[in-house]
Amino acid sequence: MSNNEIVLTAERSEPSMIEKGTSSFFGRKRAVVEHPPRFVVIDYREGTEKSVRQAVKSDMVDVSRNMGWGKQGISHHLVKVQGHPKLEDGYAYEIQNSGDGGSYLEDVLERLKSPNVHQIWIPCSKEWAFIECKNGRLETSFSPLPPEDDDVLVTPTGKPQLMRPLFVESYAFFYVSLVMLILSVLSFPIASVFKHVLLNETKVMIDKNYYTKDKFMPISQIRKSFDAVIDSNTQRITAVKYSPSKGWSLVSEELDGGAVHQYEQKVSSDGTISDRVKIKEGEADRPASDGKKVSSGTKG
Amino acid sequence: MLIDKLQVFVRDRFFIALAMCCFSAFFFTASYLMYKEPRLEPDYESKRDADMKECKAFAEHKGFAVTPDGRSVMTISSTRLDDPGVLFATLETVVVACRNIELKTVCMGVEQQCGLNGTKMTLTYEKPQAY
Repeated sequence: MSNNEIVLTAERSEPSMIEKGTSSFFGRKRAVVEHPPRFVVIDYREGTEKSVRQAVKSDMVDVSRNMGWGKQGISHHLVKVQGHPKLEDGYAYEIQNSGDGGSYLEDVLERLKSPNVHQIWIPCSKEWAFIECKNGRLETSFSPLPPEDDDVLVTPTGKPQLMRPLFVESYAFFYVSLVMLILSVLSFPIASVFKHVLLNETKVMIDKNYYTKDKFMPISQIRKSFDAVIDSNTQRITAVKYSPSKGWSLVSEELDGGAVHQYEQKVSSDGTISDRVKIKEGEADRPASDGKKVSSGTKG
Repeated sequence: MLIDKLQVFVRDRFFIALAMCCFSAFFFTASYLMYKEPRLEPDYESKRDADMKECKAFAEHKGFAVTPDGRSVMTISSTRLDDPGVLFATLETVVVACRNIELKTVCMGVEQQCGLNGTKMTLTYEKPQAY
């Protein structure tokens, strides 16, 4: 017996119940109570072809049915065996009834690599399962008697959580989603036909008037302003402007001594004209007393 | 061959179901939007081109030079400054006659203020409402 093999005492202990954290969907931890399964079957089929894999899957279902386990609580694990000293390349599988999700398969295959080990015992809740490796085959048998002292026993603790349900009956979400998908796929062309064929109407466009009161051109106010400076020799209106931010405004120039000042007046939407605000100061380019009307440039 | 004929997608059923839910949501949303807005969108571009063309023709008819600036902006200008009151009234008729046009800038005056001795007005086209 090798050093790492576990020796079973004559007494058969109760299944160990060890809580172990294991990750599930989205990395959440869930507690697992480790315990021996009610039954465990480990078998093997030679060949690595896809057809062999499918046959192994059928074998698992057949084993479960032949054992009369029903569908509830049956889990399975399938591994590809390659480079094993006692087994040809192929597929090995494990089926458990009422297991804790932990798999013995990898551990069993690893221990069977030892030349002295041909038989491995696995504790079940009521009996003992022993896996024999004979003539390149794996066989599982059950015994109510415990293993001998020098037999190799695999303990139920520390197993990797690799078992998957063999029969899944919780298909509600799947079927509901399928029905929803069918309905939605049907509703889409129906809606499309309704829109493009049955109704087939185009929206009516409404022209909008953007020339509103706040933008009205202050024609009368501007006329008054022009009239006010028409006879002036020192003042003239140089521009009437509009911008969305400032609204309407008048820009005028006035000669004050030798300097020409620029002023701005805002014309509000109600027609009032604000006081002049000086915006620029400069030198006069011509004297105001040259006898000409300075405002005539704007007047035309 | 599957493990059991009823055991389709035994491992990935959750993710497949989730994907089907997502597709369902997409199709249902698309269908809902079609029922909610059953009428087709009008051809805004043709309408804009027609309105801009009409506006340009009217402005030119009123004696203004029209310079399109892109497909939605036009600049109307004139070097006349003989009667500001009449000129304003003429500009106003252009703004009122043009459909879906918004007044952006107006400048009437000397070159130092407006860039030319005369009148310059910028108009932009706004998308009309549809229902």
